[in-house]
Amino acid sequence: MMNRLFLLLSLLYTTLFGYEYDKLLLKAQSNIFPKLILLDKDISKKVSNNEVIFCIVHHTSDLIKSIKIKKLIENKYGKYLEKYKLKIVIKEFDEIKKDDKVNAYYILQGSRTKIKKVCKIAQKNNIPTFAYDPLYFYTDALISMEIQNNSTIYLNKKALKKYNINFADIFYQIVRFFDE
Amino acid sequence: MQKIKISVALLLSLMIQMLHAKNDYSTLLSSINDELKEYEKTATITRKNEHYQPYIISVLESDTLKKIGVQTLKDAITLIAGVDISSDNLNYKSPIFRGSNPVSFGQSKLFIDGVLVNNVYFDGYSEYLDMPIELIKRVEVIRGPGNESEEIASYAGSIHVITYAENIGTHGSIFAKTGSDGLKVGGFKKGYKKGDFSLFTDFYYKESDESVFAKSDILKSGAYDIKTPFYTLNNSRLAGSGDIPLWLKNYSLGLNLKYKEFSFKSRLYQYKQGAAFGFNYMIPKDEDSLEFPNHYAELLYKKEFSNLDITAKIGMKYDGVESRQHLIHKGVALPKISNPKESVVFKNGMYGEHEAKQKIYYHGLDLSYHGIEDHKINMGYYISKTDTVKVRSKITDRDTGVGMTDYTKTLPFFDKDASRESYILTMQDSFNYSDNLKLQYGLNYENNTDIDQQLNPKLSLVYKAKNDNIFKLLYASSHRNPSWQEIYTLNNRARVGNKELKAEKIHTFEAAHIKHFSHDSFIQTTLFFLINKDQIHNMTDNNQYINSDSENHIRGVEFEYKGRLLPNDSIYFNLSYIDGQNSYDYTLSQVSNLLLKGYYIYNLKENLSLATVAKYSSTKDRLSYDKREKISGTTTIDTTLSYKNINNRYRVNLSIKNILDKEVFYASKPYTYEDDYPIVGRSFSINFEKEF
Repeated sequence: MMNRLFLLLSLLYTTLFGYEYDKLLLKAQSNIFPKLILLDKDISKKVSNNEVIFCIVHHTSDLIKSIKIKKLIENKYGKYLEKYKLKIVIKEFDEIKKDDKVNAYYILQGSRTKIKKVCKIAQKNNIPTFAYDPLYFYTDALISMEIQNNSTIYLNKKALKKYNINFADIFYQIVRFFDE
Repeated sequence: MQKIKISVALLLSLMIQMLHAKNDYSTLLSSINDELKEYEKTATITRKNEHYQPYIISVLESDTLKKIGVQTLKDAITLIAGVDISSDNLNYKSPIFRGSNPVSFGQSKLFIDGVLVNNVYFDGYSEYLDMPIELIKRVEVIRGPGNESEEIASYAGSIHVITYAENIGTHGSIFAKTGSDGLKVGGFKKGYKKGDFSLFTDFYYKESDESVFAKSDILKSGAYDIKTPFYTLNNSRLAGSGDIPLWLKNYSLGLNLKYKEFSFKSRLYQYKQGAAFGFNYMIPKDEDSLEFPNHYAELLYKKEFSNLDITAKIGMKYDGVESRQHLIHKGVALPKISNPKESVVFKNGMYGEHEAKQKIYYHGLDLSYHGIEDHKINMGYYISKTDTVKVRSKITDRDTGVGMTDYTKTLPFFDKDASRESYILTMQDSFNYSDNLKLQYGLNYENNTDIDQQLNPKLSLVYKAKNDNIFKLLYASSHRNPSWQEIYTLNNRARVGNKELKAEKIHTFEAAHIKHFSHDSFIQTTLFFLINKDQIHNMTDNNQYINSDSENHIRGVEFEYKGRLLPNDSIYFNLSYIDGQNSYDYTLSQVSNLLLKGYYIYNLKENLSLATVAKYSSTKDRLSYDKREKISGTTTIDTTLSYKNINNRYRVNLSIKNILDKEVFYASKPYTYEDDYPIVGRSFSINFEKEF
């Protein structure tokens, strides 16, 4: 109940400026999220030109933050994610289109409506959405991560079917279902 | 046959591919798990998982503190639930945790990068409260005796300041600030790294010319009126009023080196201030000064084996107090030292130079064994030796009232032979009973040459329930050694030492519930019950320090909320209710029953924010025999506009403190100053920091 109340308070607003991100969490997510794409059994069929495209989705005011995240990922992986070439793109929420040629969305702070729209597109294209905050699970984001007592990767059980992604069995060993 | 061969080949190929894929996934899984563990480790070190710790801890990050206009360590600490500040006639401040003994120092401990910096003389750390926020990366405040540093018994709480030396990189910054009351601050921090060797240094210099007005000093109370069969000395007519010098001139130079398993931490900390309300509670002159040097150096060896971590340290500290001030007004008469049947008039007043310096040598070892599944066992020792290095008392001749005489040998203000040896043993086990339940229990044993042996057990239980609910149950006992001021002060009317003092003792019971809403929002409720025994004070007729024969029972509740009202803001507030009484049914004196604190940050843009800090403390009762009105409650509101240029990596903020210019006071000792000690009212500062 309290979660939902807080969610309402947090997501009622559509304009955003300068949300304060946790630096350690951003670094951890930037390092781990790209690897999770490889746990999609069908990733080889989803990439074109052997290139994984990882898209950071942000509000206008978070452009600088997005560039920093892009640099974090590039510093970690260089140009390759295992055997695939890796390309990081940055897009604002309004720039996300149905026919985007990307393999995952990493969603930063945004309004409920806009996050939901990105998640719907991802579901249609059977690609994962990574959320900065597990609160976005209420808008159907798929995967998130937190660092508290343990570092935990969360999977939104309710939304999983909508994405229809064939994850390797091993994936379920490292995630915790959100509604547990 | 051919078909069978092809089928077998295909099957084998498929199996090889599957095995290959499985191996790929296993490698991936292993690398993800390794990274998760690494982040867990970093989160523990940097207290990202503060709510899971087996004690009540609050963590303040410098980025937030700068945004809300926090200037010094003291500003930061006063944001913590249940923490108030007391001060004395020397303007020597002490954070008071949950109303526990507001008239003594040393009930809380301050660690800078893991090094205990409480000085020997007061067992306080007021000088470090002025440390600028630009040198501080993080402040961790633990309420209650629970503490990571098991060797040092914290009593009511402990404060851990983490500087930017925590992870030495090549980053650095310069900073400067100016403002009202002649505030000028400048400094830098810089790291250097090459291979296994790294170096970090920081420096700051600060000066200000603050002063406040006092209506009348101790003479008005009649405390210096003396009537004997031989003479009557009516000194109360000479009661002074005027400006109280609270100016500051201090600097600090920190140097940290690291090479493989070895690290070296050191800091020169020189603190000089105006003589405040005077050693003898008489208004001093503007040029009169007090100095509290507090330096340290520590060599640390840290080695991690497969199941055993070893941390060994050896260090030294040097601190003291140095006073140069007018002690008594012109015209005051006192009995002669050589013949008390006669009196002497100090026509030009009495001037004094006092100095007491101490040094501590210490070494310790901590073994952390994690070879037993779900257990982490820590054992260690800490041995220290403290000696007096220098004592000096030079004052106006007590028999003639003119000229300076060295009384270091004949009438010292401090015992030059003061010395203490301390032996501490610790044992602790952290037991992960299950993924959700963690137990920690341990013992701390101390034997030192000033007190009886002390054995302090502790037990804590942390349970993580569903939906990010965390429950904690904690018990700990601890003790506080009497400070040297309390034991060894001599020949001083305002303070009389007592070598018979026992250690103060505390038993703490705490229960907490924390509910997480997201990684940056939570509600926490903490209930606590403290039993304080043998509290030390000098609220006595002859100002001698004694152990109270009464037991204090203190109970209270702390409520904290952190979160967001809007996506672009951040809010934090806490409420503390503290109540209690002693064995004689007197209520707690000099303690606010209700404390409310909080901040609100509104991010106008990613790089521009407006913040407000509000603090309220309710009225405080006086000591039972102090018939003055209650100490009035206070409300202060600060506001800060902060701009950060992300491309050019500089930050500017304009901060106004106590914007409503409300009067704020610290309690004065009964029968000294008639009024309480006022604090400077509204002030402003402009702060600049450039990173490179």
